[in-house]
Order: sequence, then C-alpha cells, then structure tokens
Amino acid sequence: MTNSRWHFYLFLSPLLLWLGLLVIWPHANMLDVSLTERSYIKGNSFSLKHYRLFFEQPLYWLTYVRTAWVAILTTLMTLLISFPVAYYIAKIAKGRSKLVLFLACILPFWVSELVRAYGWMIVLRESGLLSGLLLSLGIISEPVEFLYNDGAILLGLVYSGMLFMIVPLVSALDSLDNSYIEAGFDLGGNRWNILREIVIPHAMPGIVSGCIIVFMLSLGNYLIPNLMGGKDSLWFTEQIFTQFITRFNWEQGSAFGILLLTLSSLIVWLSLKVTRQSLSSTMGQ
Amino acid sequence: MTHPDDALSCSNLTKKFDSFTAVDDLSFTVEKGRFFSILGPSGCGKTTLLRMLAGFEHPTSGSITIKGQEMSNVPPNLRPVNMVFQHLALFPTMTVAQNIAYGLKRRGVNRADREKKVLEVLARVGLPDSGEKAISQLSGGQKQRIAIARCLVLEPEVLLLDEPLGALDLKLREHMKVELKQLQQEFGTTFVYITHDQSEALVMSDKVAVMNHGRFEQVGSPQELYRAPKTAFTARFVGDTNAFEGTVQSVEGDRAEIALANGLVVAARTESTVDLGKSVEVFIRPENIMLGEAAQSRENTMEAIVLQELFDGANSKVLVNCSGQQVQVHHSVSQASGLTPGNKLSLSWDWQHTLCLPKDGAS
Repeated sequence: MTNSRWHFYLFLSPLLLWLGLLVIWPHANMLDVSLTERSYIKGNSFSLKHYRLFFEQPLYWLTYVRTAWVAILTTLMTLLISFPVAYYIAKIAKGRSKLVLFLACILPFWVSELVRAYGWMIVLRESGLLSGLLLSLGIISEPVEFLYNDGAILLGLVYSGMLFMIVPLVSALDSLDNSYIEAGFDLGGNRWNILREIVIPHAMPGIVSGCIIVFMLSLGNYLIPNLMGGKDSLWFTEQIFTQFITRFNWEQGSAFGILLLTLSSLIVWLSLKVTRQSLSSTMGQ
Repeated sequence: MTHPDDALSCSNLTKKFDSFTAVDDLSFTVEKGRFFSILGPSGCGKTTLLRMLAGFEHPTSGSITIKGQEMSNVPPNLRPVNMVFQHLALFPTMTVAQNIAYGLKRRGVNRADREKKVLEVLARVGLPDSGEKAISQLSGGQKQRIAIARCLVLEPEVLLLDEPLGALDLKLREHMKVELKQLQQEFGTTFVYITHDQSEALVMSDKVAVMNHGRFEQVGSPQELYRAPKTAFTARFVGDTNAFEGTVQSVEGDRAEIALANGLVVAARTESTVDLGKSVEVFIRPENIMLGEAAQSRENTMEAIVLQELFDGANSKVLVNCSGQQVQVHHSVSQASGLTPGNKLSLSWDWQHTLCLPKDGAS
C-alpha cells in the first residue's frame, strides 16, 4: 500500500467508525432483536411475531399512518411558508437587510429545541399569553386551551423545521441569476409561470433536500409531539419509547424502529422518484 | 415627430439614479430593419438605456415609442421587443426546443404551431437537429444562436442585444460578428446592439451612436464616424488614432494651422468652427501617415526616431517618437527595412487627413 492510500484510510477512519459503530451496527442489532422471540423456557428463537402484532393492533398501524401523514403535512406547510421567506431573502432583500433577515431566521435555533417548545407552551397554554390576550379583548369568555391537539403539534413541527427548509432554499434561489427571471419577463412570461417554469425547476434540488430533512426530523421527532401534543398525542416515536422504556419490550420497540426507518426511506425514495431528482443532485449541491 | 418607418424612437429620455444621471436627455430614432449600435465605454449609460427599452428600468423622464406606440406604461412582458442578455440567460432546466418555445407558449400558440415554428427557426439559425439538446451540451457559438433564435421566433419589432459577444474568445467573436450581421439581414429585424468594442460596432452596424456620459456624442454610419468624427471623444474611441494637443494659429475656410505642444506647426481640416488661439486636439490615423523619403511632397512632415516595431501581419505598425510624443504609424510588410530602434525617419501626411477638433469639455 502506498503512502497516500494510507493517509486516505487514516482520514476516512473516523467516518467509517462513526457509520459502523453508531449507525450500521445498532441497526443490524435492532433488526436482529426485532426478529427474536424471547422465551425463558425454549430460549431465543426467530419470529415475525412483533411485526405481526403491529399489523394486528389497529392502534399501532393507525398511529404509524397518522405520524407519516402529519409529517408529510408538516413538510408541505413548512415549504409553503418558507418559500416566500427564502425568495424574499435571496432575491428581493439587498445587502445589510438580507443578512439581518437571514440571521433572524437562524437566531432562534441557537436556543435548544426544548426551550423553544416551552416557549410555545407559555404562549398556547390555557393560562397562557394567547388565551389571556383573547380574553382581555373579549373575543372569548373563558380561557381556551390551545395546547394538546394536532394543530399544536403541527405548529411546533413546522416551527422547528423552518430553518432546515429556509437554508437550502435560500442557497438554491441565490444561485439563480436575476437575468433568468428578466429573460422570462422579456419573453412574455408573467410572475406565476416564471415561478413555475424557471424559479421552481431551478430551486428543485433545494426544495427536495429541504423537504427530506424536514420530513425526517418531523417523523422522528419525540419532543414536540410529546410536549405540545400531550402524553396521548399518538405519535409513533412515543410508541417506540413506551415499548423500550415503559414496557421493557425491546423486541417490539426494535420492530417499530425498523418499521419507522422503512417508512421514512420509502417516502423519501418515492418523493425523489416523483420529483425526478436524485439523492446526489439534492444533497451534493 | 415619429415617422411610420421608425421601429423605435426616444425623446428626451433621462434616467437618474439618486444624483447620478445615467442617461441624459437622449432623443433618437432607429429606422425599421436597421442594425443600430450604441458604442461606449463601460459606465456610459448604454446598459441603462437598453434596460429602459426592454422595460426593466423606468425612465425618470422622457418617452420611448416603439412602432408608434408609447411604452411608458407597458411592462416588459408585453413590449414588442426582446432582449439577448449579456450571458444569454438560456434556461438551463429546459432543452433547446423548450427554451425557444417558452415565449410562444406564453402567447398561447398551440402545440403543433409551436413545434413547427421551433423547427423553422432552428433551421434558420443553422442548428436544425439541436432541439432535444440540453443547453449545457451547446458550444459558445451555438448558445449565441439559440439565444437569438429564442427571441426572433417571437418576431419582435426590435431585438435588443446586450454585448452578447463579450464572453466569447477572439476567434469565435470575429466569426459571430459576421454571422450576427447575416442573421439580421436575413430576418430583417431591427437590431439595437450595445457594445464597448468599436470593431463590433463598425463591422456590423448600419448606424452607430457613440455614447459618453449618458449622451450621444455622434450618430452616424461607421464610415462617417471613422472618417469624420465630430468630437474628440469619438475620434479617440472609434478606431486607432494619434492625438496631439495644440492651439489654433490661423484658419482659412476648412483649413487650420495648429501649433502643437512640441513646437511643430501642422495643417489640419476642421469642420466645426474653431477660434484663433483656442486649444484643440489634432488627430491623424496611423494608416494616413507615410513613412520615409517617398512621401516628402505632402503638407505635414515630422522627423521621428523609431522606438519599436509592432508586428501584427497586415496590421503591423511602428511606434516612433516625435519630439517627445509617441506616434503609431502603419507600415506595409514590404516597407519593413530600416525600422530598427533608434533609426531616424521622416513622417508625412496630407492636411485633409488631419482632423482638428475642439478639446473635450471645451465645446
């Protein structure tokens, strides 16, 4: 082996160790555990029992579908809200205000997600700011609880995902030269079809990469659904938590974990297919 | 004011950015089917002027009329003009055919007609089989042609071109000059072309406007601009020239005698009125100066010392020193003997070829 190859593997080794020990090995282990039936009499044996249980119990698979649905909804809403913001930052704001706006988007994320979730709870709870404001304005006659419903979960997830949507969108839109937009107008286009045929196709890698990140983060989020949606918010990560921690059923928890991984991979793969993007073009930009 | 044959006319057009005046009270007309160039150094306001014609900038005052229709309240997407951008702005996410069809689609042309027109215009620009290609597969020259085709397919009243040859290498640029001129003649569209390259403007245009500080110094055919520049700026900007400073000693009709700063007195042609004692500039083109003994009979003569030969094939020059001032003189390759640095030479030229113009800013 030549010297340079040695260096190559030396520098690669942290990555390989990280991937191997913290990603591949635990997942392989989880897969193995999920396919094991534990028994004190017969010893451990191979079984699909934990997967069968998932499909037999409506609570489990309905929670699974619901989680995926809300995560998709979160992603779309985040995209809809972030796109105009990113467009404004990238194309309309100039110089100093551009920097200030971009920082204003990033700044809240210097605070831990937990603190931000509590922030929302202070605003939304029954004795919170929003309820108090509406009371004092006479719009409602008694305090209203805005927390612990699906709207609150969606709000929390969209809020926590926005940064990860805005950053790739701003960088994608920034790279679109203004002359393309002007050329669109010059050739007779209006705002709507320039957006559809020039701006969005150009920003597609940024849109898809933002969507993948937000979707993954929402689907795997435990904190927001639990704090803002309440203990019974029926979020799939809570089911996994319950199996591992409360019921100490690691086999079942592992099976759920593998199912969640399969789901997220499947949806990402499908959305890449639908938008005709490749993972390398979206993540490698 | 406006004539029915005019494709484009501007009157008192002004554009100010805060205190800076980019375009200063311009009035001009472009006849239909002409190749009109606006030639000027960077920062002279030519891009602002073009962007106003396209509708991307609003004039501070004045009006633009295209084919008899006032344009001030017409947005860029409804103007009968199209623009070829400096970096072409071909949409990279679309194929060549989609790029060309974009404008047709916006006009609601149906699919079959669209496809027919795209094929037609591709054939006319000499790229009949490129429809399905991606923009990134085209060469620099092909991109130029597609960018022009994308505009011409819409049959605009005026095609605006914003230095589209600037990004090409020299050889291709020379080639595209000829091609652009041919395309313009073939389509018969009015072209308004802006450039800072005098050779592009001279080769292609029917008419050239020389622009400086937001104003037109002179508008005329390339020949006129070259042979009879009306201002010192035009004389210096269009073509190569040798400039001398001096003061007017005597005027007789269109013939003036000028005392140059280096002590010599030369006779020059003057079209504008120059007053006695006024400081002027005198211009002599390198090709009008004769070298050596053969040309002694001409009016103006100077003694010079060879500094350097600037060999460039048929365009070779020799750099000489005339009483402290550097002068460029054309020489044919056959004359090439005796041009070793340090040699003495005599230069001579006709007074008709010597142009006397008021100094910039003095008029």
